[in-house]
Amino acid sequence: MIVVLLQAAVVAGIAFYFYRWRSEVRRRNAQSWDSLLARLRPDWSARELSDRFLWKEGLSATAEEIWQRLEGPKGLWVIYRNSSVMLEMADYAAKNARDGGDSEGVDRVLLETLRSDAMQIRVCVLTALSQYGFSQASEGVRVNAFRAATIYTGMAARMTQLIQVHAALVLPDFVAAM
Amino acid sequence: MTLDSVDLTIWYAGIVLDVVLLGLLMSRRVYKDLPVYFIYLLWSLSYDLVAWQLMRTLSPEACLQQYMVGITVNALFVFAVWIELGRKVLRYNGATAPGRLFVLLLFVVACLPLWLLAQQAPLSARHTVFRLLFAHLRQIIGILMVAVLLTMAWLSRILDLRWPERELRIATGFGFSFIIALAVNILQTHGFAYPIHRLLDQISVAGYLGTLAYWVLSFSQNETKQQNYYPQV
Repeated sequence: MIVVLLQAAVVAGIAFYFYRWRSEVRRRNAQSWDSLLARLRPDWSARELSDRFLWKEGLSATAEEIWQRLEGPKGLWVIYRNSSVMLEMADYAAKNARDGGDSEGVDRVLLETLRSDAMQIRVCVLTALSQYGFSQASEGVRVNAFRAATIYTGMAARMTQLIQVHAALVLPDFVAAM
Repeated sequence: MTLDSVDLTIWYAGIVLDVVLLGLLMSRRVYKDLPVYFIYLLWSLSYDLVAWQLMRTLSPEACLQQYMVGITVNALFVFAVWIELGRKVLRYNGATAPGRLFVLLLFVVACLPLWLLAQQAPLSARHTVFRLLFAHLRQIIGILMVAVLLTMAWLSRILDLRWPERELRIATGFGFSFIIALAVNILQTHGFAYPIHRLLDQISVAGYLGTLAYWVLSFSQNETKQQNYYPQV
């Protein structure tokens, strides 16, 4: 009887997971630019990470200072969430550039770089957060947080460049939201 | 309504839905974009037509043999369709394909718990070797199909991929029938007697009919265009 219940639970779990995945993909397909902007987390801003955040890649502080400016795991989590939203923004811009008849379209290499940035940020943030769970702010946590912040500034700069070229009208909103 | 008449109704419904769907795909020129999917549906229709005739003339064991060949070819076609869908989605997102080893790892991770789960209810030893082989094959294919589905969903999440509406509909249809088939396969390992066992088979086929009906409904509607990138200024 237990086996039957377990089997039923697993099949129901797979069905539910599939349903959730499909709903999420559909939500992504249907979202507007404004809804994407609204999903950028306002509770922490990365402006303090570098002197010319959004316009220039790289950090202007040590790993210790960056950890302070990140406000610990709070900033890391915002970086994690925002990188995913920025990638969705880039995909959205690419799709609309195609549909809108933009002859040049969004640079494929730029899109690929943004995707790679988002992946690396995820790995760094998840590693840093799991290390933080075990050993608080150890050297390893700070190094991973520093790496995540570095990639994040690069990603944000590339995103600004993309919007500047393909949708300059919405650039002020993006800058304000970030 | 007898079980035989249910079979006949399901068979007719399958043929009609297959023909309507192929007609829709041809009128919308989907066969140019998704040739493997189109060929898969053509195969499905021709197999349904031939199998029904064979089942009426062949012995039960010979029937089982042709059915085993049928489900194996079907599974290979479905794999090919998923590869086609995957390539389409990657191209749509302008993304490069993930490493083969990584995909294989995800696939194995998806297979393992399903395989272990199926082993919890071993197949009945009362069956002949041939029937046992058939039951195993069906179980393995059912597990592999759901594992493919899970791998695609995981990859899509990890790589943050957007799905074009049409490809998402095809994936949804497959997902629905895979999950029904897996549930039926697992239930059938519990050795139910004749009417229930047959009813479960019919539920599995009805699941595929539901998928065909969903595809017909989806392809008969126009795709919705996404909103303009630029908001009102």
